[in-house]
Amino acid sequence: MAKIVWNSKKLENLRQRKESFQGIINEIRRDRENLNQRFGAMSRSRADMLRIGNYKSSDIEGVNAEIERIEKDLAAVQKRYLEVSEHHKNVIALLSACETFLQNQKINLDPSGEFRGFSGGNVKTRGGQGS
Amino acid sequence: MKKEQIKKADGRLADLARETQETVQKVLTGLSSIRLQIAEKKSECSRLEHLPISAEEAIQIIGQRIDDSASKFDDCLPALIHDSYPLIVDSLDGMQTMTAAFVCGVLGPEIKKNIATKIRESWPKETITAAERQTRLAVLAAEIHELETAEESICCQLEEFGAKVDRRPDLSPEVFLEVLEADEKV
Repeated sequence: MAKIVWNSKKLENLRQRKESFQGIINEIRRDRENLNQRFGAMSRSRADMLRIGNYKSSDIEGVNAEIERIEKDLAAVQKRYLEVSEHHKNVIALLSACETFLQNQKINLDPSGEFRGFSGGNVKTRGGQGS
Repeated sequence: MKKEQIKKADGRLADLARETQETVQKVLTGLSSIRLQIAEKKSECSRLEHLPISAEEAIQIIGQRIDDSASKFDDCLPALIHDSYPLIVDSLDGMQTMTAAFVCGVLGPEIKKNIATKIRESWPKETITAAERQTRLAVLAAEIHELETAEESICCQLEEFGAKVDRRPDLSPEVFLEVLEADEKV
C-alpha cells in the first residue's frame, strides 16, 4: 500500500477554528440572552407604568427609546449569530470530510480526534505529527 | 531636515499600505474567480451525471435484458407439457421468472422492436453515452483538482500574512490536507 503524506497542522488549525467559532457562538448566545432579559424587563416596566398610570411622559419615552435600542441590538446580534453560524457550519463540514477521508485511509483518530498512528497502510504526516 | 525625512517616510508607508491593499484585493479577486470556476465545473459535473444515456444505448440495454430472459425459455419448455407449468406454481418468484422467460422467448424480437420504436420517438434529445460521460467527468475532476490546488495555495499564502480565510465546505479533503502518495515504505 502506498504511503500517504498529509498536513496534520492544517487539520489541527481547522479544529481550532471550529472551537473558536463555537466560542464566539456561545458569547453571542449569552449576549442575546442578556438582551432578551433586558427587553423583558423594560417591557414589563412599561406595562406596569401604563397599568398604574402614574408616570411622566418623559419616563415612558425613555423606556420606549431603550426598548427600541434593545430591539436594534437584538437584530444586530441575530445577524452576527447567523453569519458566524454559517462559518461554523462550513468549518464543521470540511472537518468532517477530512476526518472521514483520513479514516478511510486507515488513519486512526482517537475520540478527541488526535492522530494516533496507522493501521493497514503506511501513513506519515507533515506539520509536526508523524507515524 | 528631520521633518522632510518623516514626511518622506510617511509617504513611503502610505504607498506601501496602498500597494499591500491593492495586492490583497487582487489576490482576493483571483480567489473569487477560481471559486466561481470551480462552482461552474461542479455544476457541469452534476448536469453530466444526470443526463440520460443515448437512445441507442438504452435500446441495447433493454434488448440485452430481454435476451437474458429469453435464454431461460428453453428451461421452461419441458414444464409446458406437464401440470407443473408456471401457472399452477404457487411460488411468486418462480412464476414470474417462467412467465418472463416464456414471453421474451416467444415474443422477444417483437418486444425489442416495439420498445426501440417507442424509445426513438420519445427519448430526450440531449443525451450522453456512458463512455463519454466517464471521460468528461474525469476531465472535469482533473480540472477541479487543479483549480482547488491553486485556490488552496492562495488561501495558505493569505494565512501566512495573518488573514483568516474560510475554506469552501465542499473543498476536497485531499487538497486541503495536501495529501501526497509517496513511493517509499515506512
